[in-house]
Amino acid sequence: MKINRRTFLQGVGASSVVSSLSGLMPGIASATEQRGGAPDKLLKREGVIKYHTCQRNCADRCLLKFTVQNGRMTYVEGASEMKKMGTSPCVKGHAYVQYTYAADRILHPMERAGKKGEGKWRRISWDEAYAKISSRLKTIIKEHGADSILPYSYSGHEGVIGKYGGPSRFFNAVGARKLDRKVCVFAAYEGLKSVTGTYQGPDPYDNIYTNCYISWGQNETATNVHGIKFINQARDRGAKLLVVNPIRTPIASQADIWLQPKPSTDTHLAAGIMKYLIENNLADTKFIEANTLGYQDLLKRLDEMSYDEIEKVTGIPREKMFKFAKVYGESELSVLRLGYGMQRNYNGARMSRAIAMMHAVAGQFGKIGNGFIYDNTQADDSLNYSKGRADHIHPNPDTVGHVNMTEIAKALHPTNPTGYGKPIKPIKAVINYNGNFVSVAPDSNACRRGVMRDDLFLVVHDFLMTDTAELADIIVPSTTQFEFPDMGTDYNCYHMQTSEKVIEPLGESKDNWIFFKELAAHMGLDHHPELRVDYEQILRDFLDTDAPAFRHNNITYEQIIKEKFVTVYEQRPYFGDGKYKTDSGKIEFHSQMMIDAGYHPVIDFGLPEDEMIPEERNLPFRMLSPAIPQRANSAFYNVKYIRNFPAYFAKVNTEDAKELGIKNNDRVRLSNHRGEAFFVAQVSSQVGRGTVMAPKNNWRRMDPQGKSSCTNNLTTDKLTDMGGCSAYHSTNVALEKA
Amino acid sequence: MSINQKVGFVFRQENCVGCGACTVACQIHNELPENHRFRKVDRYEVEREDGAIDVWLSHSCMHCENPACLMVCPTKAYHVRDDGIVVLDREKCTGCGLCVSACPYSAVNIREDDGKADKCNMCVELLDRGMAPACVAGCPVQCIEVGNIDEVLKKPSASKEGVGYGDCITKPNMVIIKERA
Repeated sequence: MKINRRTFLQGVGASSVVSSLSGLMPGIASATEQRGGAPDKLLKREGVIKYHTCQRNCADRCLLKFTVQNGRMTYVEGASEMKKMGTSPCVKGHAYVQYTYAADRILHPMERAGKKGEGKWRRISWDEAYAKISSRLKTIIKEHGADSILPYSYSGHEGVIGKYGGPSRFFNAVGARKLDRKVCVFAAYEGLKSVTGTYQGPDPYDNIYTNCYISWGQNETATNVHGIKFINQARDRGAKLLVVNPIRTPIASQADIWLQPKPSTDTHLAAGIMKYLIENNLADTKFIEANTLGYQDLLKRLDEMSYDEIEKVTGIPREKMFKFAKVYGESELSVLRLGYGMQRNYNGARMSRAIAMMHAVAGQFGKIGNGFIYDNTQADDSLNYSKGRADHIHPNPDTVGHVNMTEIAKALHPTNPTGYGKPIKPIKAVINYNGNFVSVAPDSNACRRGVMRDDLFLVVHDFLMTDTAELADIIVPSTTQFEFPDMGTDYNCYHMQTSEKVIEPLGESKDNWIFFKELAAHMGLDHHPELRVDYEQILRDFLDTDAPAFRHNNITYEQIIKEKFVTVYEQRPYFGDGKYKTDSGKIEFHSQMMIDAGYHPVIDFGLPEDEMIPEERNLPFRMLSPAIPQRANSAFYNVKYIRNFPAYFAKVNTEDAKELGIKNNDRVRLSNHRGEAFFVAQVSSQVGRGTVMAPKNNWRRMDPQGKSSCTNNLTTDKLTDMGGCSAYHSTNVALEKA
Repeated sequence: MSINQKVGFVFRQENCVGCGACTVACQIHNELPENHRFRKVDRYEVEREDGAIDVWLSHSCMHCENPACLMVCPTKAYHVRDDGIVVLDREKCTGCGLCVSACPYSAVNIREDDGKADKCNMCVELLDRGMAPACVAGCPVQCIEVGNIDEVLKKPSASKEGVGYGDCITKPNMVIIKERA
């Protein structure tokens, strides 16, 4: 039998193999089974196919295809019909079957049978669980008010129902305290809005048309691995790859030029590049004249900053910066991708602002193949959140108190609870779902102290015994995302995707809608019709929107269900109309927003060290705690095939290690006034001098050294300059051989 | 294409980001014990004029033209198919380990669960059905393929040399593509 290219491609998914490495047909032709095959290995690929969107918090938002046999999930692959996907999940997604059927899943409700955190549990029925939870919550409401109940959740499930649609209806009906879920992007949102009026940008599918791709503060391998093929396609057409990152990411190693600034000095670096562009006639004066305000103020401000100072602060030799700026400035089309890590600094908004301004000086907006990509929430921001969450049923939505999730340790403080710098009313109950704040929130030791309070009632809805669950009063088993239907919004490409129910709930587990719906009924709150609906109605409520992203092409619920994924409308090229989203309609080099926030209106050169207490400022190492490719926040720590990829290491610069007598694989101790953590040293020039890198969100319970170490024992819970975001990377530590 | 073509892995090393997806995809397809890997990914720190960079090598069985494993096996458990793929008949394996020592690419290992040798068979059960091996389909960066080695080697960008990899007496059939300087 002869297999032509077309037949082969049908076999592996037609859109997946767009370019072949060899330029030749990749398969082989063989009509008959030869020796050595293991056809039994193919059995897991036979069955019914379900399309389901990965709901981890990652910019790829993969659409996956699951094979189901007799109600059991047996195999997962990428939905290759989708251009962004190809045939492959990421390293973690490959193991979703193992994730779902993990031996340590919690499959029935349990109540604490010893002291908090002692690890003694008694199995109870769901009826008992509901009775105990609802009676305790009712008592708390009676004695302390409904606003003494706090939900804690973030991105354990990013689905429309799973994240907000299900749980929020319950908390709104209760009248609970509001959780400000601002751990992530919001500092950069403010910084970018102060320049162009938005944090959204062009379609990453157009990255293949660029002449110059700039990866700034992102590790694509960890959080956008499916986007790398588009960068490589651009490079194969001759595009340059420029990278700015304090850590040598894989893409940094592959770059034409990689700049390694000292952490959080990006404002200075962006200013240096702007100075070079202007001085060497590489600033796009025509673009600047037509599209910006305050250019003279910018020139004046840049004059106040010298290359000497920039070199000193960033640690980058000016010649290298000039080389970078020259390639950038001479590129006809340059697209810049800003990562989701660098804004988690005390100066996060100010750094993001300077980088966006730099892109405007280069005139890189408004064409296909250029632009600034940060958070493409075109689909998500267009959903009708207030209807989907039933915000209107909250009894006092405008006056109820708020807790910023980054400040959860401060809010739960045993004697002096505070929020946003002010005393707050004590919290008496936390219902934790889609999250594991004891290992994920900053200052883990303080989080733990707060949860250990005798007067705090903690309910955890999860499918694993997390660092948070082990401190619970009652644990109720959640399903994984695969056990109920939902939808997902892409925040890189402009997609809205289906999440079909793949399998029935395992054991006695209940999903994020059923649990909260039934708890509401036990609390006597089901007189609200919003708490009696089905999954489809919640999705329809979210899709009840007038936003042009959905209405322009008249995207419907039925269409998403039928087609599995849709692309919402956005202008192309982005900003092609020259209308920016600031009040002035122009790119603002001089910003009233910055003045209102108390910062310099043009460029504010503040650094995180300015805001550290002296005890921390004087510590010799800056600790960065970014994502690693083999974990998704605190997920996958228990999953077969993934859990043995290291996640308890500290990367130490080669010269620093030599001075401290640290060798590869030595045990090291990181410490500051918040606590200590023990890791295995990876000695490498991947990090610069004075920087250590440890993976974020590792669990205390899973610490292979048994020392309850986790990176967040050390991290700061002080908020960013604007946006009220977390600032994990503004953490200093001491480092020693353990 | 002739059935007598030499089939081998084609690896674009300059694009590999070392995520380990190929390793896991292979383990899952082959239903391997957790700590047994047919395909591994190694990181090399390479010094260059303007500082070190990281380069990754994703490697498994090289399906050599002169397979050392086959030559040393006392029970004739190894076999070369018409297409050049070296396969192992585990029924015949006694677990003596001679092949493990003989392989210059550390591609054969003894499994802890049954004490017998095991290695990559290039997912021939998939190839024979016109489908891509698990590592090829399971690479999100799309930097591994299989191809006709003699044809691929005609490309100027193709060679049997890469970081952590080189030709040797066993004549390995993995090709590295290097399009960028």
